[in-house]
Amino acid sequence: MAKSDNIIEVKNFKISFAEKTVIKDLNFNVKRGEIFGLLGSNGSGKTTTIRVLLGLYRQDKGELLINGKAFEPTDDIRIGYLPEERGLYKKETVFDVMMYFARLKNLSNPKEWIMDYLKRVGLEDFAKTKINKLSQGMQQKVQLGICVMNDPELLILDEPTKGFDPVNRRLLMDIIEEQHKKGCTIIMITHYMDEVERLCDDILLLKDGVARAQGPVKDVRKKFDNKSLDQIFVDIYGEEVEAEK
Amino acid sequence: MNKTKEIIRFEVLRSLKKPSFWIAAILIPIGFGLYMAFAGLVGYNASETLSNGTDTTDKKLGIFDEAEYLNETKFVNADQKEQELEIIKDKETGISAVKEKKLDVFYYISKDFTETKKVEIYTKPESSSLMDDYSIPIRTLLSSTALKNVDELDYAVITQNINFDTTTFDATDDHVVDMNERIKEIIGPAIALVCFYILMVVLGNRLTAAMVEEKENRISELLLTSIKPVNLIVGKIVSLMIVGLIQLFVLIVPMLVLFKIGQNGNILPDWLQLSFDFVSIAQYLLLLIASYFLFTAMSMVIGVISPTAKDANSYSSVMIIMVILPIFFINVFMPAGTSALTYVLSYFPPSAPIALMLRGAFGNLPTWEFWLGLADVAIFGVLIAKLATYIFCRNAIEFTPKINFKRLFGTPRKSWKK
Repeated sequence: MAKSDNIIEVKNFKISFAEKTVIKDLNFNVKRGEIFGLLGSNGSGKTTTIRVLLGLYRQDKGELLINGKAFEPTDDIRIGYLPEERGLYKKETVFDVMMYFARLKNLSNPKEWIMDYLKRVGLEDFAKTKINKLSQGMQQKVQLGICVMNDPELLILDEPTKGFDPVNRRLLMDIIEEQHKKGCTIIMITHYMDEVERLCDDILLLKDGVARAQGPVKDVRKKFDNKSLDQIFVDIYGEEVEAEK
Repeated sequence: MNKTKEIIRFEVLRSLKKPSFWIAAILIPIGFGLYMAFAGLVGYNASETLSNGTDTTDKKLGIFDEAEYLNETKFVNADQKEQELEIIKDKETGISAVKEKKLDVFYYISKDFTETKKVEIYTKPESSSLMDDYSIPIRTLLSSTALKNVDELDYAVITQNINFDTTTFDATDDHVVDMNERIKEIIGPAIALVCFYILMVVLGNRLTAAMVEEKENRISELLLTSIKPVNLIVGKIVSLMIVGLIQLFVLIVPMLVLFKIGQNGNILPDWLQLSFDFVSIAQYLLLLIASYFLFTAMSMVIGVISPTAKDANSYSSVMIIMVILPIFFINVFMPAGTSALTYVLSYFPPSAPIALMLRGAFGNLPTWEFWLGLADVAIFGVLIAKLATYIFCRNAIEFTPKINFKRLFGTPRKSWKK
């Protein structure tokens, strides 16, 4: 069966927690091979959408499909996910933790891949260091390595550059672009609009569980009088402040 | 299946790599052994002292027998050597001699001894000990004086030189109890009880910590896109069982080797000249494994509902109390104390393991009840492990400190129900 152009399809998605409706009625598609920016302020429902997409939460209504079906970890698709709430086994060494995930992801040459990656991100001397002895930035590099080690077809990054200095942020962007060039579809949740303008093909801007802007970056900008994404973000979230005034 | 194997491999290896595991694995049995040896030694010395009194071989003993009751002053001491008491001319001289350390012990038999039946003993040891007992020489002399006035049978009765042949009937069915057989029966449950206790002490916290670790370290989300929750939890259960069995192996093998060496070298004390009922030992080994599985499953439920290891520890304390509850009601597990509580504690899953082992040790567990109890423990172990999986599927990425019961028992993704 021929694969659809869309790797992700979200239709009529709705989810509530207790009395609060987090996503009201969301529809969007992510095209195969693109970089998709999922934007919105804190609490707008971005992370919840990703968690439902990956089967960590169950939706109240609608369909969230990856490759045409609801995701299960046993599916053939190779997924890399860098969650917002991320951590590692703190008392284990960098190498042991990466090796564990490499085995879970069925890597063929795990040792070689891990050492190459650690060298690339400047952590080759830390392979036998315990995770809790690493700085936050170093830990994030290890987490990113775990995400991309299986050459994912779909890479989901929830605030990947949070806490990175400019040098490491650039390194991370390079790795993301490299994955993209290999044909990987990337969904990126971020608050840095310069990253979005630089990397993303399509975006979805969420506010209060509703899509407020959606489509290719240039179309969205055109719709908002060619303003920068940063300004569009401020305008949309500023409406509330204006209304309150 | 391969992913579950990877989890087992990772969990077992990292437990075995931890120095704390080996410290606990080796030190707790050694500590337990030392405690038992110390308790045994103190008990032995105390009983030796109580039965033989303090050794007087190198002591200088004196006596003033104002009542002129004794007809001799020589006795056989603990060294089986004849020792004689020095005759002192009066009470004051004897007491002064003790104070000046010219005498180690002074005995004074007052003039009215036949009425008071009292002997005064004076001593001034270098370091005072509660266990010192210098009454044996005077007791020996008083007895030998008294015995000269009685006939042969009275002498045998008084010196307790009578043979006794005891027949004990079983409390439940009146059959004659063979004490050697009883000891054989006790070994299985006693070993199971000690091993279960050690496993609880050594691995209790590790079990809950292992379950809460992914959540506490925010690894759940990263993991759960690669594996199903059920794989993770089964992997955890199996690995913790393996770690527990390694712990038992470390505990039992050196003991068996030492026992065998002692047996072959014929150097074991009488009370350790045991013969084993291997069927009973195998049965209680099964109960031990099922009990540890149940304990693991209960610890996992606590781990999966708790957001942090600290929260898990407070719930664990409640669980441990339920598990050791039978120890507080030990009398109800003896044949004479059997009551409704015996059966409640024997089949209430958390308390069942120790209750069944205690009943086995007291010879108060019929075979059919043993198997029923074993089934109870094993079935509840499986059910509780399933409950842990069920909760984990709903709570794996809940990081808030408050337990959300509504979420716990809500509907998970369809695929996770498997």
